[in-house]
Amino acid sequence: MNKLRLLLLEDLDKEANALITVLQENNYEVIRVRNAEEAEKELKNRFFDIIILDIMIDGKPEGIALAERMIKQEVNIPFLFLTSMQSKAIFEQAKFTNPFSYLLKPHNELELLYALELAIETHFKQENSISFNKNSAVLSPEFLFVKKRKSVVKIEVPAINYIEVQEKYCSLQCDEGSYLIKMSLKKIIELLSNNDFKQVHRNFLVNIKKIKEIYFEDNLIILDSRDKIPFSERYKASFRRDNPIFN
Amino acid sequence: MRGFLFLFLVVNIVFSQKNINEFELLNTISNQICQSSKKDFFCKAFKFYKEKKYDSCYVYSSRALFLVDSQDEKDILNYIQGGSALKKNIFKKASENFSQISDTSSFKSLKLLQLGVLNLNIKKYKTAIEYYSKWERDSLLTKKSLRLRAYRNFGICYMHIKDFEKAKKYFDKEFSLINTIDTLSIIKAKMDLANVYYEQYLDDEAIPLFKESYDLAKLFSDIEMKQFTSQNMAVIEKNRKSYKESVAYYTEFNKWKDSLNNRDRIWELTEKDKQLAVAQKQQEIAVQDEKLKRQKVQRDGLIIGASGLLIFLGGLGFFYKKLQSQNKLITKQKEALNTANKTKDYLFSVVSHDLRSPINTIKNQHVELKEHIANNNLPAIQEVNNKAIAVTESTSHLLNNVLHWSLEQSNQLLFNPQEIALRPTIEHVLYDYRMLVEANNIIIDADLENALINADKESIKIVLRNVLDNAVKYGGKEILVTTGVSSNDYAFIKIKDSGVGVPAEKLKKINSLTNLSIDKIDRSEGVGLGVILCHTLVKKNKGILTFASEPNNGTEVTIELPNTPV
Repeated sequence: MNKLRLLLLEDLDKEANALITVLQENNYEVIRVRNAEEAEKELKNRFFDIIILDIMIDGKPEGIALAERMIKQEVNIPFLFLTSMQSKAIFEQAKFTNPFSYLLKPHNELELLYALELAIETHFKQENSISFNKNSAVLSPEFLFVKKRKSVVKIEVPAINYIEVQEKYCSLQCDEGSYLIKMSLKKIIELLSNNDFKQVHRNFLVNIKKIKEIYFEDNLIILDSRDKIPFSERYKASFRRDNPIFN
Repeated sequence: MRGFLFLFLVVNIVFSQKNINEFELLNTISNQICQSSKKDFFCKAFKFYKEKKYDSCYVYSSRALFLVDSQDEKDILNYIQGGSALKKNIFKKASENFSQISDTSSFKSLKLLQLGVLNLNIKKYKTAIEYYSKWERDSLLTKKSLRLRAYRNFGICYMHIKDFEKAKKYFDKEFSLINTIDTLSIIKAKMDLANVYYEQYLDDEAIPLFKESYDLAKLFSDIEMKQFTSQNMAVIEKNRKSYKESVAYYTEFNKWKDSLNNRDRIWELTEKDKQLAVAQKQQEIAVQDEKLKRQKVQRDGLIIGASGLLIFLGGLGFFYKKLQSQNKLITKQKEALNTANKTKDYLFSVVSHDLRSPINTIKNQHVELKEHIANNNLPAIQEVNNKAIAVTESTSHLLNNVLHWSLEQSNQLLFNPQEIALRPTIEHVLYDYRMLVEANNIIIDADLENALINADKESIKIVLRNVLDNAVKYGGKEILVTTGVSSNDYAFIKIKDSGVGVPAEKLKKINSLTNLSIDKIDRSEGVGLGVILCHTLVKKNKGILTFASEPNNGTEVTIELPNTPV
């Protein structure tokens, strides 16, 4: 599990410090910038998981402008607005930066952490997952975002052992635990588009890097984690063709 | 003797018009000349003579005379020019013309006749008699009708020179030539003859002739003849001193005269009548036209008036409508203004009453704190400090309500309904009560079933805070918050306290506030801004807010909100 790295755009030191304290206590790594220019510089240098934008920077709605620029440049990072603006006009302007999540000041610790969850969910279009159910996860091509106590952490996709269909959900099995995603297996395969994950059964998707043994005759796959996965006849042929190493 | 002379003149004129017969010879020669030599002036002069345009004839014949070739031509031209001159009473010129006609010409007798007429006209009776005598030698060449005129004129000439013998002779000659059918000529001839006798005082010869002519005229249709003959008879009777008969004849004469006049007058009258009738008709037509015109004008006026009225009414309607809509708008605005004014008043009263006391409290607490600090009394400082925080908290809460209320009223409150999770929302609100709970030794239990509701998160938080504040303030030591799904359509939040509860009457009032606006609320009734705000916001989220309470058994507030099934 890895900490999430946040970029915080906030011009006021006091508020920035309060936020940084709360976020660091909750297992987030925070890089703070004072204006949009610095923010863009940081974005070029490093990778961030979430960007927190104060809308009004030095009396101008720079936060919104930056969000708009990011969308234009297709910077694929979830962001959330932090604002004390209860003015409709500004709000409506911010609303056009889809996906949109915001946090009104004053806010308490819980609200802030919750807003981060929402930002990730809405960004990957998997609403009401981690914010709604603590066993849920948000899946992106590279990472799996999961809840750890009050905060969100990420797991690299290769760390997933296998994915199993459970009714409406899919259960993602990692060494750290299992997480539910409200998505069909077919959709997950599309989303991951990762050759390491092979379907071996109508209900199972396996990370081939985690396979310990395969018993073709017994229709069984045994993983490093000792999990036993059924191997359906339907998928054997293509599996063999694609992975001659197992023959 | 006027009547007789008058008659002679008439005869003279008749003669000059009647010499066309002799003219045939002249005519033939002229046509021959005209056709053979193509003499323009000659032809024209002759043509005009025939058409009796004597002025033009005179002019052209004098021009033609300069160009004459033959004796015949010259004679003809002289004849027609002379004739024209005679017609125009230029007797001297006529005489010259006729004299120039050669004696050898084939119409010598015509020349003599013309000269005779001419001299008779200029009253040279003896000269006229000379010409007529010359003519009489070859009179057989002349036509009967002309001869008759000539004899008559001859007779008249002799009458003028009082040679009655000769006059009678020629009148007799004339009379012998008269056709018996020609009554008019007979009457005239008899009258002439009678005149001759009468002038010679041969009354016995004259009177029967007059009588005869009178009797003939009586049977004849010519009224003028009747008039003349009766006049003659009257004059004769007068001269005979038979006045009675004379008067009778005069009466007759006058009758004929009148009838002649009458004839003229009747004709005139009928003419006049005709004119009058025409004039009347025209007038009628004019009147009719005028009527039509007036009707048209009237109709046009009516149409114009009607359309004008219509336009006016339309305009009136339009303005009325406009005015009405304006009035409506004004009424609406007035209502809005009233509400705004009431809201403002309410907010002022909140600020002045509800805000002043806590600020005073805080000030006193600070004074107290100062004392405790001076005494270094740490436990007391802690106690006062906690209280101060609590007061500040509630004041800030009040201020928030005021702010939200005014934002809501001015439609500026952020309102963004979306799917939100119920549990985290409540957790977030409860998180803020940690300090308060600690300070007041209160327990807040939460049994939260998660659900998805469709609502605006911030407004739900405001409602929750208000309800919780009330519970903390009045509700005793234990508060239980539960959430869940009550039906397919609604999720609920219940906040139950263990306080003294609300009296039934007040409870009713609180529950009835759903539809009330701020201007209807009496501040003295103790219903605060918070409750109204809660009602307003829950309603805005399409939810239901109910208060339930039993005395001494606490109060339960239920907020129901539209649920989205997971």
